Amino acid sequence: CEQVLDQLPQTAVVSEIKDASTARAALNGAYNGLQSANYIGTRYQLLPDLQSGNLRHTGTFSDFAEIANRSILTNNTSVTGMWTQIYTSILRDNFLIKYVPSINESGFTDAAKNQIVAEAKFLRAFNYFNLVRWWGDVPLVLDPTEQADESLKVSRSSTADVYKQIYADIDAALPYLPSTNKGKATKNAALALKARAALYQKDYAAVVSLCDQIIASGQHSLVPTFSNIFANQGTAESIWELSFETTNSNTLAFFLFSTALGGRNEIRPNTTLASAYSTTDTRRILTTSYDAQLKYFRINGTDFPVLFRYAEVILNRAEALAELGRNAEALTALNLIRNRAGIGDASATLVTDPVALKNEIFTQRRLELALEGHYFFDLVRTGRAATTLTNWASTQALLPIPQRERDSNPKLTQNPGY
Amino acid sequence: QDIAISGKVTSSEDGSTLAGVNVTIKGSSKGTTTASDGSYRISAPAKSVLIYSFVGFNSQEIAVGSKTIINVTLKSSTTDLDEVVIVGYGTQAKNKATYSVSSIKSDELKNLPVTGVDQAMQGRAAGVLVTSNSGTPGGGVTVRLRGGSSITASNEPLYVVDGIPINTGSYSQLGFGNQSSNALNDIAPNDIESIDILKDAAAAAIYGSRAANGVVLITTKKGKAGKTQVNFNYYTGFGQKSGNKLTPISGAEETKLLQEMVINRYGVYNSAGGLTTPGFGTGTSVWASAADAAAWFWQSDSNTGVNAGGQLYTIESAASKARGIRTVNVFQNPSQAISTNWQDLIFRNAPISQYDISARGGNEKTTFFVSGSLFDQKGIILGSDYKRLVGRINLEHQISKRVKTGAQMSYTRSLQNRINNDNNIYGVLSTAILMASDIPVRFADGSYGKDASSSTENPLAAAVEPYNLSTSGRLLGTVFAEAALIDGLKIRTNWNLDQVSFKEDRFLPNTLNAASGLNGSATATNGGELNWSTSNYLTYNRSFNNIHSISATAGADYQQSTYDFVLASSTNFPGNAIKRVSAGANKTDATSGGTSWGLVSYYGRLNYDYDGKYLVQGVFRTDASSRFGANNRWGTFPSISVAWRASKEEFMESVPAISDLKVRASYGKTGNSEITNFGSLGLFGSGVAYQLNGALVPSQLSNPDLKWETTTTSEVGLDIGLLKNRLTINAGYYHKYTNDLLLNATIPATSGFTSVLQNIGEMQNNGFELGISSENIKGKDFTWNTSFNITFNRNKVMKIFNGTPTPYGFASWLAEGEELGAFRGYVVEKIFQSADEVAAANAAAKAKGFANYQVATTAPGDIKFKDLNGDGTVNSADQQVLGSAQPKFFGSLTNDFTYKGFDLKIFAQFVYGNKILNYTRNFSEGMNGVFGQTDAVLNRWTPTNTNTDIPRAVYGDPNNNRRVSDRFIEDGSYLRLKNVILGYTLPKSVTNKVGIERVRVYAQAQNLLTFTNYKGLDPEVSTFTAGANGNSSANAALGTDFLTFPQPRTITFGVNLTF
Repeated sequence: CEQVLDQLPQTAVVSEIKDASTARAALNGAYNGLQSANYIGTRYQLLPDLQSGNLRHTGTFSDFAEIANRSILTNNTSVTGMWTQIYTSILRDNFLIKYVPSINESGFTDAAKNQIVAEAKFLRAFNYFNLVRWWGDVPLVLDPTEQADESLKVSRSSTADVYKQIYADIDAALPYLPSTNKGKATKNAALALKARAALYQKDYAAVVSLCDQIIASGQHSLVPTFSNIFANQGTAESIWELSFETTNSNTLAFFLFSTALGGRNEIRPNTTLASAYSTTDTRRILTTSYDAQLKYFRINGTDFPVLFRYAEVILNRAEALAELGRNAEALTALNLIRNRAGIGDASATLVTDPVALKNEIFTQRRLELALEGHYFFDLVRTGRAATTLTNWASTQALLPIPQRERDSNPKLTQNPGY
Repeated sequence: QDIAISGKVTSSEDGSTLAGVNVTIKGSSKGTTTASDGSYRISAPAKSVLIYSFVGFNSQEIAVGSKTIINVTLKSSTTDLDEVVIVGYGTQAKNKATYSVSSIKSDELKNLPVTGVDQAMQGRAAGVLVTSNSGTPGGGVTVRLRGGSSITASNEPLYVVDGIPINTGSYSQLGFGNQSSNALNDIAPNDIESIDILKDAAAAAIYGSRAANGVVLITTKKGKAGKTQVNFNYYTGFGQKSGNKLTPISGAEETKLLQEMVINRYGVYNSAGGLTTPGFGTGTSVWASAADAAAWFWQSDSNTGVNAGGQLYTIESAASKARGIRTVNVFQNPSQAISTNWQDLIFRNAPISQYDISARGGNEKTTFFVSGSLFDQKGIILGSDYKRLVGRINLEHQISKRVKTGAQMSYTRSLQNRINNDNNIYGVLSTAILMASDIPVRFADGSYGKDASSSTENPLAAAVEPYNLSTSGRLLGTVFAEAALIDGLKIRTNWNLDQVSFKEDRFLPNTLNAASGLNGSATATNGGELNWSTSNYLTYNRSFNNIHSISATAGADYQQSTYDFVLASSTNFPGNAIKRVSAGANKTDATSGGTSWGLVSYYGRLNYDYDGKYLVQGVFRTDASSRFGANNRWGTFPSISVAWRASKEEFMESVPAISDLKVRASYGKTGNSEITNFGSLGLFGSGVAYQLNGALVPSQLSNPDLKWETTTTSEVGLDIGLLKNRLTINAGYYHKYTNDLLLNATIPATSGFTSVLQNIGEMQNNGFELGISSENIKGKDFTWNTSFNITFNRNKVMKIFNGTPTPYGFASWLAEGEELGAFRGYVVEKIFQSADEVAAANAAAKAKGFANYQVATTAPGDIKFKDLNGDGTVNSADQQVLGSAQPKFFGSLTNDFTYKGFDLKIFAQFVYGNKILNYTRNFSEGMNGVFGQTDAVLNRWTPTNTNTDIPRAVYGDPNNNRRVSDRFIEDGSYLRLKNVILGYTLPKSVTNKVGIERVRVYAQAQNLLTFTNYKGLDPEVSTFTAGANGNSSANAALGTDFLTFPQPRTITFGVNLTF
């Protein structure tokens, strides 16, 4: 009788993180949480450019159409999927942060445990940064969910508090992160994340100092041929790139490619983006063509999205310097990017024209980082959205809190305009 | 003084002589048995009484008197007057049943041109709503007994074949866009003697935690003592498309539409080539002409250039020029466009045939039934077919006077070719509707015609290129032993095995969109479920003083099921000749897994019968399931029912017209445990990785309180037989209330989980069932029988998690107070006729603090949706329930006529008052992209065609005119001439000469005519199926039609031979 009733799952375990091997497996799970098509596997890169017109919607997904038109409904499946996936990733981080320190296993050193916790904290900071820039105030959940009860209904924390937590996690992680760690968290990745966050927070002095630390590490440089950043894994320019394999693939190329190339022709670069490049710009074809040469081009889904790269660090620094009035240094930094793209130095007169300088830095930032998940946020945080985008309303700066979240948690308020 | 008596014993059924009948003198041990020709001789005192008894027949007693020749006709014990129904762990006389039970006899099932038992049941019994999910041969079928009682668990009844609770559902691991497989098809309808459907708790409670959706008891044909009878049946015929047509627009009309869509979105062009009205979107593009703009837009391989005036224009690529599709020239001269009718290419007249042969016979000790059948059906859509071979042997042997044993075994092998369909851009019918008509079948170079700006597959390629073979093997068998211990007390043990193995091989060659980038892709799967069970029970039957009789059953069952599967896939093939995974250079997936469940049960049933007048039955069952949480492992399911046979009362004897009158009432509880196997455990899942290193991720929150769903049913009923039961009426009213519905409680996704399975919900079904059957004319040469049944079921969702409505499918809406299967969406108010109207609506919205009434880009010709909450703007709150997919009533009407050798059966089935979401029209009338459109869009809004309900054509549909609104919710009522058979039995005088007992030839039409207002291909649809979408979508997203494969009309011609 008991034998008949005593059944156990064969592809899952009932226990939690309890030893070194389950801790390491759970850390892999935390990275795996980023790989979903609702996150780095597609939407992280494509949605901001779809919102901002770098990309054009040519397919059938109505959720993409809403995003391209910036008339997003609260039940938009991409928006809901992204929110859900980011919090799913955070849960995986939270389990590690809570349980790994108390594992007692000989051979599982404090250093090993500290690094796992540091990587989890880095990932949590990255996840919350993506939440805060997309939705503004968001619930801060820092403990793993172990039972379903009222405590799951968490109110939104202020944007400032979320940033505070992001900085706290990065600062706690930094001492224990390795300097190299293929496809995973490193010191420089954490610094780059903090620099990007500081830029969004307009803490320009911090941006410069963080970028300087990365530069000073000497680990990174601009690769001479732009296309190599995307063609080769682990280039000197890459600070953190997410790994994908055929068995664990993304749908970036699939969504961008024409059917002739095996894609689904869902989204493609807009002609307005193409015409923004000079014809000699080596980035133009790679960013805006319709065929096999794109930043994402492996139809089998093994493109490795570079989440932080040295060019962004330079552009972050250039922008911060310009904002601080250190125009000459800003221009020098900017020219590194321009020259690598094959379009030569910018006019030296920009040093004396801060508005034009900032505009040029912004333009190069758009051209350099198109399709990498930046443009929409850059338009919003620099106040350019209203002048650049048609039919702009300031409420479009934030995505709606998914309807399902508000239905399951009455404490959540909606963003204005939805 | 003994008298020498002789005579013959024959069967009342067919007049055949019966060998081996026991003829005994009552009160003595003296007796004899009949010889092979049915004759007997016996000497008996004149005052004695002879008893004639035989297995399967009612005993008869005859006083000897002065008779010397006594010829006896024995009535089969299953003839109408004393009909026996199968009730689970036993049988019962139908007229003594205290509950409603519907029986379907073999006559109604045999030779139907359908694959499975479930389809054969359609319309045959009150309270049973059967919907074929699609016309895919061998595909899934939805069966609802008295409405659905569950949301997340299965709503399908429990099927028990010869006492074996069998595996059902889809074993397919591959996606075919909702074309699930159906394990019920492994039972050959011609092997079935009867189907008994236990609908109410009084009867079904004996199956406890699995009975909430009712129990379908299938009994296969048994051997019969007497002359061996050989039956051979054959039919052949064809299926064809029936019902509605979707008329695609021509290539020229499509070309005009595409141009109109681009211009309406991006701007209007003047003859000088300049942009006169800025469009929405890019804003800066200017073109030499509208044709230029359209050609640029719809060719992904054309480039743009800049002319001397600084205007952009299109440079056609050599490839697109060569194809001749959507070139500047075609846009300038739409009449030159190619025009393809894709649907004509993929529908076909599809052959269907079935052969079966069976033999049944035996003697008083051993009886047998053996059969073999081959069923072969091609689908009416290219690329689909189903073939099934079944062999069966049923044996029974009387070891001694007290002990008998036997076995029922069948093995089924089926081969099914499915094609993608329904919600799938790689489907066949789906692409035939979605592919625009201005694309050729093939390009000049012989390759499949494709639309450069769409990923829609070429329909012909989708039909003929993929290799998709599912192979299923199924062993279903039981062995039993039964011993009579003391008078009236029997013990029986059954050991059952149900083993399904299901194998799929798929190969997609590089000629298909789905595999062109992968250089061919193959997947192979193999899955199998081994389900063993044993039932052991005692039955006791005893009468006291001929007034009190009791019958009792008590037993214990154990059941365990294990499921295992493997799956492997690869890509990068060296050409398309080799279809197996091994040839693919890149092995993309390899997985195996398994799951299991176990069930332990104890049960009992007690019937008490006072003089055939007052009947009481009590049933209980207690089940423990491995699926339930540690805190709730055992569930108990009792029922009680009573009946009064008023016709047995003396005062009723003065009313001879009433031959039978029974009033009955019942109350009981049943459960539903068809949930995921480990839903109560907190789990870390596997199967994910990072950098090829294995990972564990939290996958499920625990719920140790998890338990079954409980349905409480109360029922009252009335069974009336008039004029010697020539007219019988069965009526019943039921109230089903389900508690503890297992629902995925939505929890904030900020927890990292989206839901946890909890016993939360409540739902009710109230209904009235009526069945009438009548022998209208009972002449020597001419008979006419009519039967009619109708069911009214009202479903209501009473309680769901937090009272928060949940969307399912495309527009289905699970909400308290609504029916399961309710639709929700926007309501069309009108079409905006002028810019002033749009501006006025937007101004009013701005006054109330909103940016726009709908969106900034709303323009004349767009739909104005109703601002239902009156807040000034249209947003997601402005949706309401637009109807329910559950019918107000359904039923059937059957008329049987015989005239001499001719027989005619006309069976009509109807469903009334249900709504269907015609989501196909969302695309085929959507005018938002490059999809094929139907002729409805020719009436689209333009400044010169304003009196219409079809909105304007605009690329991307910025106003979202095609959102789900009452525009796409249609009345799904239909009346279907489901089956008409005309047969002729040759006179015996002719057939006997050639040694054949009976020859019947017939012609049959299935789905002959359908009367409906529904605009889609077939009103009998269910895009969301449990096999492909999980239970909750199948349960809640009822009645959705999205590019669904329609039912065929099937015409067959057949012959039945009996030797």
